[in-house]
Formats: sequence, C-alpha cells, structure tokens
Amino acid sequence: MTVEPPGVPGAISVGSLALVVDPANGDPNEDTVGHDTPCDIVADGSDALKAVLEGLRLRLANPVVPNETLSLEGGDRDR
Amino acid sequence: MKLSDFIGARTFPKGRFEVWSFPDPPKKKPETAEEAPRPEPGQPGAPGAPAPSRPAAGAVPTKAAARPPAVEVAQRLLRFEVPVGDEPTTRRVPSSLEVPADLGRADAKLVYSALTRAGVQHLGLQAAQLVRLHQAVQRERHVELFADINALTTGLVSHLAMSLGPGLGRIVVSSSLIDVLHEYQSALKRKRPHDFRRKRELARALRMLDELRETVPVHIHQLPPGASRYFQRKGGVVPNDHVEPRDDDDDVGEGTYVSEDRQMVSAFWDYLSRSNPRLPAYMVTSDFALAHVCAAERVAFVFAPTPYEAQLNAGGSHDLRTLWFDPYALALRACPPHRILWELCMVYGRLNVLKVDNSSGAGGGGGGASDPLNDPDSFSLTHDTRLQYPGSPSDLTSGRPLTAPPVAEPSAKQARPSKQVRPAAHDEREPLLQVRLATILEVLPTRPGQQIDVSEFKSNHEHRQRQWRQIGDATGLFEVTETAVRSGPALPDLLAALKKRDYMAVNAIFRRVRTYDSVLREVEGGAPFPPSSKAGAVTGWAVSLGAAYKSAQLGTLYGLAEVADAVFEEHVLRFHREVGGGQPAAPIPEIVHKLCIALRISPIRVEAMLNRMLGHGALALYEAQRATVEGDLPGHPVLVFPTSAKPESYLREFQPARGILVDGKLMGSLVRRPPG
Repeated sequence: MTVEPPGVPGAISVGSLALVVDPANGDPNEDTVGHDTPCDIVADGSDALKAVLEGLRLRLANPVVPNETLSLEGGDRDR
Repeated sequence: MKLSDFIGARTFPKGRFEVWSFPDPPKKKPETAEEAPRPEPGQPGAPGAPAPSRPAAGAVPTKAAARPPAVEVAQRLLRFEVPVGDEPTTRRVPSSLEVPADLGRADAKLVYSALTRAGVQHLGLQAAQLVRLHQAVQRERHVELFADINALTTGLVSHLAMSLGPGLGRIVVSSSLIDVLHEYQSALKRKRPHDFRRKRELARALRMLDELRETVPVHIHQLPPGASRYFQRKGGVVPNDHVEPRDDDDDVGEGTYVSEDRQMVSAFWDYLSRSNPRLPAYMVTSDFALAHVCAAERVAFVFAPTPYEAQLNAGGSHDLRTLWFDPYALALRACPPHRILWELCMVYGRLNVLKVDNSSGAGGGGGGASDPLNDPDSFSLTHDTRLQYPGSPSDLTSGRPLTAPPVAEPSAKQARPSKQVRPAAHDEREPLLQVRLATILEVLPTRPGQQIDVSEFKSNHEHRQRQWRQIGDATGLFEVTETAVRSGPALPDLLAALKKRDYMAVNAIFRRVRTYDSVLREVEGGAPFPPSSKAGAVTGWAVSLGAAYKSAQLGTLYGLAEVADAVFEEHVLRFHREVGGGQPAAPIPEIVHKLCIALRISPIRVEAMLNRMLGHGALALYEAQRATVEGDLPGHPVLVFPTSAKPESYLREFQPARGILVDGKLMGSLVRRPPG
C-alpha cells in the first residue's frame, strides 16, 4: 500500500473493502499479520481487514497532506 | 528464558485465560497487619494465593504475634481469550482482552501501561498528534523525540517510534530521568507492594531504551551540575505524583520545591541550546500538567494521556486491540499474549496464568470442570529483577502454577448449589455480606429481558453463591436459574434511577437487603462504618452505591443524607466564595469535598445535583469549566447507568479529586459569570 501525492487519483475503494469484511462476504481464512521471532503471528483475515479499514478511515479523516489519496498495490482491485 | 524463547516455546490452546498476580514471598520478617494491605471481603478465589502462615506450635503468643499475619492478596489482572489454538510456528493474537473493573486504581494503571508497552493499541494516542509528527517528517525527513519517563512507562515512545520508523532521527532522554530509579530507592520506606511495582516499572522503562536502540539511536542528554541546582531533590519527592510525600521524612523542608514539570522543560531547553539539533525536536509526555507547561512555554510537544486515563475518559467504552492498523506507518500491528504476559511479569514479578474454561473441548463428551491451578495449560511466570544483569535482555522463568495453599474450591459448574442447601454451621460466624457489589454487577443484566450465562458469576464459594441468589430475590433485580441470570422486575426501576442519577432511589432498591439496610441505619445515626470483619462487603457496597465516600483523612463517611435544593445551592455559593477567595473561579474538588462533609452527601451525589442545578435558580450565573486540578478525595468505583450491553459498564471509576463530569466532560473549575 502506498500513499499517492496530492492530485493523483487513488485506486483504493473503502467501499469495496467494506464489502470484503461484510459478514456475508467475510473471509474466513487466517492471514499472517506479523512476525515475532521465531514465529508468525496469524489472525482471522476478516479481523485484519476490519483493522485496515478502520485505520484507513482514520487516515482519510486525518490526512498528513491535504487531499492525499491512498492506493493499493498488488491487491485485487476488482474485489 | 528470553522473550523470543518464551514466544517460541509456549503455545496457547483455544480458550479463556486469567492472569493473576502472585504475592512476593516475605523478605525478612512478616509485616504487621497494619502495614499490609487487607484482603477485600469477598475476594473471589484468589487462585494460588499463599495462606497466612501460622505461628509455630508452642510459641508464646505475644500481642504482635496475636495479630493475623499479613497477606498480600493475589489479584486478577487480566482476562483474555485465545480464539484458535497456536501451532508450533504460529501464534494468535488474543481476543476479548479485558482488565477487571474491580482492579484497584494503582494496579489498573500498571496493567494498562504494560499492555501498551506490549503492543496493544495506545488508547490515548490521538491521530492529530501522529499527523503533526508525520507532517514534520515529510518536511524535515527526520524528527527527534525528547522523552519524559512516563512516555516510556506507558509505551508512548515505543508506539511513536514504530509509527515514525526511519523518520525518527533519535530519542533523547534527560540524565535526570535516569536518576529517577535511584531516587526511587529512598521512597521505598513503607515497603508497600505497589511501591516496589512502580520501581520495577521504572526499571522496565529504562530497559526499554536498550530495545529502542535496536531501531533508533538513543541519546542521554547530560544535564550540567548547575542545571539541577534549582531542582534540588529533597523530601522523597518522585516525579509525577506516584508517591505521596512522607510524613516521616526528616529532611523535608531542607530543599526547595521540586517541580518535575519545570525540570523537564528546562532540560528540554538545555538540550536545544547546548546540542543545537538541526532537526525538529518534540517533547513526548503523558503528563497532562507538563503538556500544559509545554503549551504555555511554546515547547513543541506530543501528548497522549496514559492508557489508564484514556480508558477513564472513554467512560469504560474502550476497546483493547491486539490487532490494529497504523494508518500513518501503513502497517498492521499484532500483539501476541506472550508479550503482554512478559510485560506484566516484568512489573509484578510472579504471575499465574490460568486456563479458566475447563470443559474439555466443544462437545467433548462430558467435559467436566477442574481446578484451573491443575489445568495442564495453566502455568506461572517468574521474574526477579535482582537476578538480571543490567544491559542484558531480561530473563524470566516459566513453570507450573504457583500454589502455596490448595484453595480447594469447586468450580461454578460443579458446585452450583440448589436453594435447599443449608448453610454450614460455621457460616453463621462469617461476615454478614460476603458478596462484593462488583461481583454482582458483573452478571447483572443491563436491560430487561437480557440473560447472562450463570457461569459468568466469578465466585465459586458456596455461601457467596447462595447469598447472591438471595440478594437477587430480595432486590428483585435479577433471577438466577440453573443456566442463566435473568433480569428481575425491579431492574427497570434501577435503570430509571441511575438514568436520573437518583442515588436515594438506587439505595432504596439495594436496602431491601436487610444487612445493608441495617448498617446504613446505624451509620446514619452517627456510628462509623463497621470493619469488613464485622460487616463484610457492606462498606464497599455503600461507596459504590453513592451512600458513602472515602476521605483521605477521615476514613469512610456517610453520604446519603437528604438535602433540599435550596440548602444545596446556599452551600455551593458559600463554598465557592470561601474556596475561591472572592475570585470568579474556584476549584471544584475542594468545593465538592466541603459540600460532602457539610451536607453528608457523597461526591457522586454532588455531581448529580450540580449537573441538575448549575445554570438555574440561585446558581444561574454559575457554570463548570475545564481545568486541571487535584483534590484530596480518593477515587472509587460508582454504580452508573450502563452505557452498553456489557455489565462492566455499570461501574465508573469516579475521580472526584480531578473534578466532576458535567454533560459528559470533566470539569475542574466552578466559575461565576458576570451578571448580564
């Protein structure tokens, strides 16, 4: 995930992320969310997405640069 | 065992866990009963807590020996749930992380700070503060953080370091902060357990500097000898009001007044003037007063209230997140239970981690409950600061749960008594009211029709369970069936009274419990509140129900007298005049204290009446305003209208010394507006 400079249209759709974490479309899989030597930290994928979504909302509400946009890299943008 | 070894070796199965502190062993000789904290009545279970030692057979009983030996009580510090069992190379983040509402203020502060140091999302760090720092990083590429000691103990500095990443040029710590640990030695005169824990927390904070050095340079700014001339430390004063001044200090008065805020700000300016950093430097603090000083003196600063204060300000609606996203670092943060336990063990020294849901798997054919101490998934953690080599990674030991005495209490599922069970003969000699109000509130429905699993009632003691059912029958607040706690017919009345903040009506419901009513009648007539050995948990009930309050000097005082509005107004005007010396503004805590004593009403009732009457009638020209103040009345939990479906929201940690809530905002000053 990257931060685009102001004026560049962002590709992230908070709405599409919200769909992903909707219980009806929830992702039951576990994702690796971090590493703590010597183990991987895993969490429910839906919980992780919820955390990301909430964080993104916070960032968009409190931008570092006015009108900054966020974009996802390597993600499935159609989802 | 190092932290990485602990993470690698310990796997958590799916289930619920409780973390209990385990008292330190006595050092040289047993303390007297007066010196030691007394166990609260109704203390549930206290798994593994050591039993009082008995005098040797044949010993001559002296007056001192006749006193009961001091016992530091084991405390439940934390509950959490592991949703899915760990695998050999994977660890899960815990869910339902919860600090018990009945944990004391001092311990709650330590626990919330430990959680944040471990990596739980900082409850008090606002986005605006992070934005300021990240904007500075965008402009200047790097920033420096000048850290206050409380920013280290509460985990604020480590959170900022994680968020800023390579944008953080270095962390600067004043040498005066390093000295705090040594100065704290002289403050440990009373050998109170909390003082030792505070010292361990300070030591832990200094050890964090080594951990921070792995990712960012840490610089200790040496204050010249002259810099501390003005701040001569005498009288056992330690920073940030963590220890009260001692009465028995001989050297009090020899030194000048020590202001930790002044020292920090001067150290910051000294650093800027002598080091002349080419990067923007920010003071980082969790001290509200210091932040005010910084603002007044135009010191660039970052402030976040301590996690404990933040959860108080949130009114108990906080969410302890072990999985969260830092939108400014664009990174997920995950905190495994191992790190939480590690931090707690650094402070408490000895912990029992007990698996408390003892059913053997879902649908596992019978399940069956057992003592958590004997559960194979329960374990203990031990950390001895004296065995740590300074500068080296900390070490702890894990083993079987610490079990000084076998507290052979059956679990709730096994020993759910029927109403026909007769009390044992010795029960008649036990305190009248053994069930703490907080224990009842943990399973009290928050709305009509709500049901709570009966196993949530935390006391396994047969007599307390029976008394709990009797209290439900007497008050009509709840009904206990074989499987659930259901709302009773009187619950709507209680909720209505709480919504109106009518503590007379609230107490009228609880006074249906005869023991509570009889004690209140005695106290109303001028008798002191009886000790817990005679009345059990009654005093705690009265304090939480707004019928009594605690005074630092006078003990527990009655606070349920009826007061007419006109009398109340008259006294408010009088005390505003007296406390404020004729000025428009006067600190609310002092006014509240005087009102409580003069009118025999509790602080929570004063708050309720001021909310109702400020701006009206004789108080039409008066309003409450925000101000940082500190009074004398100790904090305590009080019963309030539940703001959520969780029974925990019944209790609010009320801090009358810091002001009162008016329209949900903490106000510290009562101000008289000019007429017109």
